[in-house]
Formats: sequence, structure tokens, C-alpha cells
Amino acid sequence: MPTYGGDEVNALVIDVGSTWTRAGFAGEDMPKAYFPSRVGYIESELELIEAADDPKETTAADIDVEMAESGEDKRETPVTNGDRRKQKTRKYFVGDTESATWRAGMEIGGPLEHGLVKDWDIYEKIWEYAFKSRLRVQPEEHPVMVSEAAWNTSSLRTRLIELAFEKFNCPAFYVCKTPVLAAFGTGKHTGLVVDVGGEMASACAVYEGFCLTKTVCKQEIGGELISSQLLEQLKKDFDYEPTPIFDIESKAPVDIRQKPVVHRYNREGTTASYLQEMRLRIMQEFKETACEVIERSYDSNNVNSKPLKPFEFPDGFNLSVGAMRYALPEILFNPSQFMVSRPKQLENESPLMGIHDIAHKSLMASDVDLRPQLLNNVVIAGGSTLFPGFNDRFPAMLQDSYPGSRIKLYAPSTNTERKVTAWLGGSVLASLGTFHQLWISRAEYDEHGASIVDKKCQ
Amino acid sequence: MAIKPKQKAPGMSRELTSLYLENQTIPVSLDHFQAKPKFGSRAERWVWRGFKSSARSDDLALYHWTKASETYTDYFYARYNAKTKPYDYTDEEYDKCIEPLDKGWSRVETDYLLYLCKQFDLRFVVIHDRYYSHPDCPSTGVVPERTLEDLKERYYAICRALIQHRAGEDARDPDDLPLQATNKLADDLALLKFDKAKEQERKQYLEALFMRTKDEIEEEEILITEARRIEANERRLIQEREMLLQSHCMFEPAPTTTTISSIKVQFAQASDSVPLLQSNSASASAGDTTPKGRKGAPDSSDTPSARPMKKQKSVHGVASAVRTKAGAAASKAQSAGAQSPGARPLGFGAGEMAGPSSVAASSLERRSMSPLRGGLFGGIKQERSEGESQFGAVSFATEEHLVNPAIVQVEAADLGDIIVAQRDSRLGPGVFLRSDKLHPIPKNKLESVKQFMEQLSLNCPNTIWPRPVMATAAVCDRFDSLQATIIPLLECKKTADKLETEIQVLRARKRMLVESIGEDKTEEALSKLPPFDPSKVVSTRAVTPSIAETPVASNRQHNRKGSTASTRKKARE
Ligand SMILES: Nc1ncnc2c1ncn2[C@@H]1O[C@H](COP(=O)(O)OP(=O)(O)O)[C@@H](O)[C@H]1O
Repeated sequence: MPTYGGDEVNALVIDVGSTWTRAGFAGEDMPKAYFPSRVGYIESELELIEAADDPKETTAADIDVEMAESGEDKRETPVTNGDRRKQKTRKYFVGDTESATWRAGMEIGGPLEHGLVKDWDIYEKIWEYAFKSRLRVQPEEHPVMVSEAAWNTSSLRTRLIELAFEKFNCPAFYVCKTPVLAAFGTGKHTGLVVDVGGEMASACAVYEGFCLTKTVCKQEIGGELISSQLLEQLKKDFDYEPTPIFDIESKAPVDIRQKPVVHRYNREGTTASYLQEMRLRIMQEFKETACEVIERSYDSNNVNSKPLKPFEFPDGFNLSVGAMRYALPEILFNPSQFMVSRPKQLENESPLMGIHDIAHKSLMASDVDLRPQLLNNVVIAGGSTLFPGFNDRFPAMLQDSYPGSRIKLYAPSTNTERKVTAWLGGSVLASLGTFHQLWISRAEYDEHGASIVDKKCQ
Repeated sequence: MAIKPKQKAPGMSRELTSLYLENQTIPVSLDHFQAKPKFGSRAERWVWRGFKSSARSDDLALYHWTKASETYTDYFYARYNAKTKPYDYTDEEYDKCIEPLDKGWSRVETDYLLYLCKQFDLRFVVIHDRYYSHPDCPSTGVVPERTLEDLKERYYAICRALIQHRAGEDARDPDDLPLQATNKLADDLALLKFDKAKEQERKQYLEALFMRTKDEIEEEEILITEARRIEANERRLIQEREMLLQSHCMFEPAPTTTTISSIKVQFAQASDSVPLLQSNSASASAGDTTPKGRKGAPDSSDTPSARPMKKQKSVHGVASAVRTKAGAAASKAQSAGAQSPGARPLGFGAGEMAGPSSVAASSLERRSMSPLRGGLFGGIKQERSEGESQFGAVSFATEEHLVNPAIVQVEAADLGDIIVAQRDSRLGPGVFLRSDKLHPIPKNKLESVKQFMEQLSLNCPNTIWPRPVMATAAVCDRFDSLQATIIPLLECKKTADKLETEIQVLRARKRMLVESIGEDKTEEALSKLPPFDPSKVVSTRAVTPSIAETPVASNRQHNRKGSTASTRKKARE
């Protein structure tokens, strides 16, 4: 037998994040599929006539025929309208290009809210797309390992296991909390995991592979918030709203900071969510190329002395980014001061915490005996920790709170790995020879029901 | 780069040779990888095969690739399925020994706790974390807000109770158990001891430590560096003193003499060998000057005079010889000095004297200038200044209680009554340190006494025999009494150990007897033995010297009384 402890049983690992989904085979070092979690859908109302008695069959047939490429499904929400029954159906478009392609009336939506699964249809479509279209496997033949938020609820887990066994007919299933997986992905079994993803920033202590639920601390600040605040900042500073490529027919070069000269298609039926999504994707690029976190605490003199970075938007608008490229990522550390406007989801939060505050709160909730060990193993994960300078700034902020402690940061070495840390952990875990005794098998599910997930996946 | 292989030295590996001859590149053998496809053997067949693991309670079959030739009875990794076995109890055990432990815990909750212990392999942090959110948490009977310490305390209390209970069931007399067994029980119990209050206190301290502010930490760091500095200084001091002690020991060879006349005689003899002795003392005082100067000794003239003093030393031997032989001149010079008030200026007074005696006087001056720690020169001065009895009396009045000289009056024909400070007979002539006056530890006990002192974390810098760092009179006194307690204590321990083993042996014999002839007969046989005779025990005990009887102690007593040298000698004998 191999001596390294691995034994691959061809398990699938899927990590659905708020903005990106990662899926692949356990034992590999990169997910085979990495695509946006936000999917496009077109909703339409059908009047039910004869076939309405058995809508499920229609759906099943549809999937078989069309799913492979675009992922189409009809959600049945029978609406009683007088004596006629109406049915809302949704056609889904999952995947990088599918969801970005312009379609009249296509809305964009994500599966998660607050880190928890909210739209099970989208969630299911994502699985389907990942397994069938991207990995091209039959889920019935593979054990499936799934990630979940540390604060996931019991009822959602129950639905999750039902999805795996009822819909996808997996032979075995396991769900593991993201922080635990992130720690494993970094090669740690104990540590303070700080995850700053698309919509949520969270911190939580992991002790010997167990996520300590009392130490979970979270807040809705993340990459998407920074992106949308960027948009607002641009509007405020330059009275500019970027035009995404789908709407650009032609453009002409303009001088720096001048209004773009662009000829738009002005396509009929562009939805607000689609437009916003496309704008956010531009901001994503902007963040990746221009934004940085200042190494020491933010002060305007310091920031103004930094070199400017030129950036050109798809519509030709261009500028040299100065203070702005430091100010917006600063939201991560000092949200109340650096946010341009308070978004809806944060209206009720007070006071707003920086991510070091989140880490601090989480640490203080853990046992005092554990704290030195946690500080010595701070694991950072998530795409929004990728701003250059973050790795210096964050520990420095932590150190300020604990001057007497030794703080050591761990993260996967490359940027691409850091976006998939949790997935990596799942890949490692699901390919361990000793792990295979933990899978929830079909037989166990049949015998104990969905509640077994709470017993076996601690 | 082709390097001509150097001549290989016989019996030396080539790598070593090339290391040895510098500037030589170490030859590295190039392993030319040669992939040789093995055409002869067939490729191994791998198959996608289902397996079942004994670590699973169901019979889930997962699939993996294995060599077709391999067969297993069980899944390879099932062997790593190790589980801790927390203590568990039966109903009866619960009622008997766990129920009364703590009324705050119900059976339901206790069961639940043990269940969690098993599930989380005694990771109390996790147990505490999930205590109220676990799906199996009983809906009633769980007291809210248990702390981590509460859970630990309960668990360990249960363990202790169970161990004790089960050991108790084992109806053997604990006396009869082999010692290891009783020890094991005690060890187990000790291991499972959990003191909640202590633990909470410890956590409070940790919390405080963890929440230290920057300023506090800085202050602490400054303190630590300061402490380090002081420690380093102290070490240096001790080292220097050690050096001094060693050189001092070298020139203290003379056998003990006890009477005044013999002092005289010896002194005369000594003066013959003076050149040798003095050169030793010179080297000793050379080492001396440094610490003195640093310590800021009263005589600030010390440092500037250091060079001239060295010169003195070279003539020193002659000087003392002169002085002793022609004592009259010197004594005159000194009696002149003695008239000036106080002891210390005396030397200076003498120094003022012109003429031939000034050499002697200057050597004297040096002595009086350096009332080295613990009356280094006390003894020597007292002896040598027989002519000036008042001199000795005056200058050492303050130190009397330290040196504790017995003042002896001696009739001397030509000089009238002489009052001489009586020296400790052990110390011999010449200078000595106060710590020399400590009673020596018998050689064979030396190690154990040292160990003992280490345990008391007494800092004894001396590597040869324990000696206090700062040998003031009070410290020496305490030190001496400590030694005088330790030695008999060690003796007692030794005897106790011996008795212990004897008892063990006797027990073992008794057991053997019981085994071979049965209990009743043994009892019978034992009863036939002569009755228990306490005196016998006492006789064995008598081996243990009582504290008062140890040689050191007795010595000390004599010493306290300040008895004459002759009685002390008797005591020693
Ligand atoms: N190089 C980068 N610099 C800054 N932010 C980035 C970078 N790469 C990705 N992000 C941001 O990270 C977020 C995605 O992180 P991820 O960990 O995938 O989140 P989730 O798991 O919630 O989907 C996005 O908001 C994205 O804008």
C-alpha cells in the first residue's frame, strides 16, 4: 500500500462560494472547474394546460435533452389564479461564458446569501453544471465532498444531504465546514482561519480538525462590497459609470479622465442585475490590477506619495489611479470610515468591524489556552486577501492587539491556490485513506434519514 | 571541468582527502541515469476494485485502483481507526460511587458528557464548544452554562471515583500488593487530579498575560535586560572570587598547630619559607585588586597605587622577613602609628615613617588598607602583630564576632602579657576566608549535599564544595547550620531506605511462605516467632544518627562555646 496515506476513490469535491465555485477530483492539486457561482436565468410564465398534472416529467425530460450545454430547468411554482393554473419556469445559464452572454430579460443571481444557501435551484444547477458539463462524470459513481459555511444551519444541511442522495444519487457524501477545509488546505489541523471571500468575511478557530462553533465571527464585507463601492466612488469622483463590453458597439480613444466616447447598442431587455454583474466584473479586473493594501496604517500623506497606476476601462475611459486604489481595500480594515455609502445589507450592523476585529473577536471567544497556538497558525483564505500588501498589513494589525504574542500567517503559496484553499483541503481530505470510514453512505442515509448528517459531519 | 584526481591518501576516503586539502573541489560522482525498459517482465495489471473497511459500520463499497495481484482481508487504512476509551461505568457503579460525588450533575447529563468524551476523543475544547449545540444533547437535565472547567472537573472526578472503586473491589490488602501496584494506583489518581479553582486561577493569569499592553511588555523587557545584566555581573563576580579562592588555597599548606608557642615556632619556620609563600600571596593579591576597585572599596587610593604595589610585592617577601626577624624596629614603627586614632589610619601613620622600616610599614599599610571581605587578613595580622596587642584588639574589634577568636593570654618572658587572638586550629597559618571556617562536609557526602542544596535552589558557585556567595557572618552561620541539618537528614534517609527495602524483602518472604504453605500455617508459624521486640527495631534505628549526634553538629556546638583548641581537637578525634 502507499505510504503517504492517500488512497483515491475518485471522490468529487465541490466548494460553492458566493462568487466562485470550485469543483474537481479529490487528490488533484487544482480544481478542474472554476466558474462564477452567479448564474443567469430567464423567468417565464407558462399557462398550464394538459401536461400540468405531472410537471416533473417535463422537467426531467428537459434536463436530459438540454442540460449538457446551457443548463435549463423549469421551476414549478403553481400559482392559482382563478381557476387557471399558471407555472413559472426558469431557464438557467451556468458557467463563465453562458452567464455573461447577453440575453434579453436574463437576470443574474447567486445561490448564497449571507454564506448560506438561499436559492436551492441555482445551487442544484451549479452542481449539475459542475459534474455533468465540466467534470463530465456521473455523480452516481462518485462519493461527493461538499463545503459549507461554518455557521450553516441544521435544516440547510438536511436539504444538502437530500440533494446529494435524492437528486444526484451519490453513493457516499460528506459535508465539511469551509474553515476546516481551508486549514487542511494549508496543512494545518489547528489554527485561526480568516476567510475573506466575495460576500462574507469570517474568522473561526479550528482545533484539531474541528471547527469551534462558538468562535465563529462573521460580517458581510468582502470583495463584492469593495467592487460595488468602487463603482460608487467612480460615480462620485468622475461622474462615470462604466459601460460593459456587451453594450459597446464602438468606441474612440479619449484623453485621461475624459468622458468616454462610446456608441452603445442600448439593447432592449437588459436587466439591472445583469448590467450590475457585468460592471462588477470590470471592477474585479480593476481590483486585481490596481488595488493594493497599504502595508502600514493608512494615512493620506503616505498614500499620496505612492506611484499612480494607469487603468483603462473597456469603454475607453482611463485614469491614473492614486489614493483610490488604497482607499477602497481599506474597507476591509476600517469599513465605517472608507465606505462611500452604506450598502443595504450592512445597515443594521453596528458597529462595523474590520477583518482584524473579526479575527480578534473570534480569538477572544476561544479558550485562553488555545490562543497562542491559534495566533501561531493564522490561516488566511479567500480571494479578497489577495490584495498586495495584505500579508503584511493584516498580521501587523493583529499584532497591535496582542503585542506580546507571536503571530504567524499561513496561506497557500500561490494566488491561484489561495482562491481555492478550501477546495484544496477537501481534495486532501477526501483522498486520505483514513477518511473513507467517515463518508455517509447511501445505506446509512436510508437507515437513519437526513439527520445523520449532523451526527457524522461534526 | 576535469579535475585530476589527487593522490589518494591511504586509509582516507577521497571526500575526506579533498576536504583536507583545501581548495579542492569535491568530486561528485555523476550517476548517469539509464532507463532500461524491462522487456522481460509483463506489466503489472491494475484493477478498479471495490473495497470495504472494517472501520465502517455499514458495508459501503468504495472503489480504488489496486494491483491485480494484491489481495487484502481488510482495508489497509482500517488499522488506523484508533479510538480512545474514556472511562465508562455500569449502573451499579454510578449509584455507588458517582452519584454521591456532585449533586449538581444528573445521570442524564453525566451520560451525555461521557458520550461526548467518547465522540470527540476527550478533546475538551471541542466538547465544551458543542456541549449545548450537539444534536444528541438531551432536552432536559442539562444545566446551562457549564464552563470548560466544570466539564473537566466532572469527568476527572468520575475517573478517580471509578479507579478507586475498582481498586477497592480488588479486595487485596493494599499492604500486600506489590509496591508497584499501589504506586500505580496512586499515580493514576494523581494523573487524574483536577483542581478547578487552580485551573481557573491559572487561566486568569494567562488571560492577564495575554492582554498585556505594549507599555507593559516594554517595561517587562527592560526589567529582564536589567536582570540579565545584574546576573551577568554577579556571575563575573563569582568567577573572580573563585579564581581568588583557588589561588588562596594553593598557599595554605601548613599543618595545624594549636598552641601559641607552636604558632611562634611555626611562624619562625614559615619565615624561612617566606619567599615562596609570599610570591603566592602576591599572585593572590594581584587577582585581588580588580574586584576591590570595582566594588568601590573605601580606599580609592587603591587603583592609582596599583602599580607601585606591584613593585612592593616583589620586595614584599624580603620585607616581611625583615620585619619578623627584626621585629623591634617594625613594632616601634607601628606603635607610633597606633597612637593615631582608629585602626585604619594606622597604616598610613606607619607609612609616614621614614627610614628603613618604611618598607615593612608599607607592606603593613597594604594590609590594613584592604580589610578584604570577611577579614581575609584578619588572622594573619593578629598573629604577626604580636608586639602590638592593642593593635589587634582595636582593628578587629568589629570583626570579632565574625572570626570569633578566642582571646588567649600568654606569658612571654621578654614582651610581658601578650593577648593573642586564637585561631581556628583547622585553618592553619596564613590568611583565610570566613567561608573556610564553615565545617567541611565529609567527602563521601559532598555530592549528595550539593545536590540537596541545588534542590533548595541555593546558589553555590563553588564547584568543589558548597560555599555561600556572600559570606557574611550571618550567612555563614545559617549556612553552617543548614549543612549541619542536611547531613544527618541524608543519613536518616539512607537508613529509612534501607529499612524500607528490608520490609519489602520480609513481605515478599511472607508472601512466598503463604504461597507455599498456606495462610493459616503461616500465621501459625509467625505467631511462634519470638514476640515483636521494639528494642530490635531501635537497634536498627540506632544506625540513624540523631541530628544532635552528628560530627558536624557536635563540632559546631563546641565551636559555639568557643572552647579551646585542645577540646576541639578531642571532639574531632
Ligand atoms: N487578485 C485579487 N485581488 C483582489 N480581490 C480578488 C482577487 N481575486 C479575487 N478577488 C476577489 O475575491 C472574491 C472571491 O473570493 P472567493 O474566495 O472565491 O469567495 P467565495 O468563496 O465567497 O466565492 C471576489 O470578490 C473577487 O473580487
